Amino acid sequence: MNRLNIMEAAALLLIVAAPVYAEVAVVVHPSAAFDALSEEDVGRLFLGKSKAFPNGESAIPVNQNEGATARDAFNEAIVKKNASQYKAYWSQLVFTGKGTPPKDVGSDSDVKKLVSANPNMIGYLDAGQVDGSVKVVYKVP
Amino acid sequence: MKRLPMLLVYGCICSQAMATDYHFTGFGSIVGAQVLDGDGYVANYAAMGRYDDHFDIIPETRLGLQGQVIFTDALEVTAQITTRGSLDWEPKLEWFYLGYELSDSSKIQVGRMRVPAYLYSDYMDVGYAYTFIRVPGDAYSVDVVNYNGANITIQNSFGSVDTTVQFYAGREIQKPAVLMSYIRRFEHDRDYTDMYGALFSISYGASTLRTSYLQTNITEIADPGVVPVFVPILATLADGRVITGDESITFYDVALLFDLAPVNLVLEYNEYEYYESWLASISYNSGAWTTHLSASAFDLDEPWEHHTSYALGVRYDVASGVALKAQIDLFDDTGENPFSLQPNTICHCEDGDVSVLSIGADFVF
Repeated sequence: MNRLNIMEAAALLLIVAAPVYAEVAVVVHPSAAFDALSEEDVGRLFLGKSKAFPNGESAIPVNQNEGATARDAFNEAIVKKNASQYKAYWSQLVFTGKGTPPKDVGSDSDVKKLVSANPNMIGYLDAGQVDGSVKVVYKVP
Repeated sequence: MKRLPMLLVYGCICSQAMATDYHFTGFGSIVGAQVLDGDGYVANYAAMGRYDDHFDIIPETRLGLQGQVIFTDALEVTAQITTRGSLDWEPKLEWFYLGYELSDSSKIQVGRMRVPAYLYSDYMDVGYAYTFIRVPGDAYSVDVVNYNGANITIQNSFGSVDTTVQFYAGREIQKPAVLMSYIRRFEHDRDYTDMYGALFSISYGASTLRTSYLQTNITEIADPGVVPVFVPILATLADGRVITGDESITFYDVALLFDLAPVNLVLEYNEYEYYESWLASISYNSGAWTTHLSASAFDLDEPWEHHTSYALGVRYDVASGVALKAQIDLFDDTGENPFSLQPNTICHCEDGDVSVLSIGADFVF
């Protein structure tokens, strides 16, 4: 095994051994009139603090199911809450007539399918799953 | 603003013929506690959940069930029923309202709602929504929990600043008034008329300031046979019952929240017509564990009721939607009854100092 191959093997091992925190992309319908949202814009939509995109169009956020890798990464990074804190936050609103949490619609592919079919929807998915059917407006660093 | 029917929004989750969406949710808490030292402890004033020196899971255990029917994306009906051990498990309608969104930023509700007097008022039954095992009772003694009327809520954003304004008006009749019947030691009803309130909250980043105002008239009505001799009768009604009290009160509350993850800080102060109370709580989160240290106090403008409490508790999020809690409370009673010279009128005991151990499980679904 020459030196280059050893490097390649080491790199491969690193990739395999690294935790599966893939990059998460926040996506909207390709026809959306904007190309980017701030972290704050996205956070406000998913916490029910805002019901419209900054341009005034109604926004419908959708979640991935509980336990999904993308959901946990998104909540920690954007909403700044772990899964339990997120649930506790929404239970303050749900039982007091203040709002309904974003619907849990499934996995990466479910989110992509719904968002690509609805100009008002906003979701998130593994950045590797993004294709031309949706537009990326924010990437979780 | 562009609105889409719910069917389009979520794909077709219900039949094409029916444009209605349903949500069924609920919450509950199973709490057990025991007085370690002292005669008795009032854990919840509005529903008079109280403990003695025998371990008991009845006083604070409760269940709430909520159903919501969404007729259009702007029109819904929500009903919530609670049942609690301290009120003999009798089902009680906690919320029942028609909600209508006037726009993305404003909505009205008409029906039966909870009085949002305090920071935690609206969801103090939902143990899962907060860290302590119970919202500190010292600072939460306004016992008019619900009103029947209407409210309007307006939410706005100015850059990174979010504001919420709400106005509400209504009436509530308590039959009987659980807390005041206990304190005054004769059963009576309370009719809260001309109830008007407003709240304003503003948040920026991790900080939130919330203020609340409430004014109402309170008429106290009792059967003449149960009224003690020293209570003056103001009037006799056509049905023979008597009015033993008639007053107007004002109340305001100020709360500050700082969500500086992993540290969370809550400060709340309020003034009722003839008492003041406050709470302060700091919590620290690490993974599934959250620990809190809290203090609260109640000070009547008369000498006979003064108390301060300290609490140390822990919350463990055992699974999604389920939290386990344990808490130690120290209740320091410094009041004095000028009539009997006993230090505390709430527990009707010689010395009101109490220490209490509580454990519980909260869940939402």
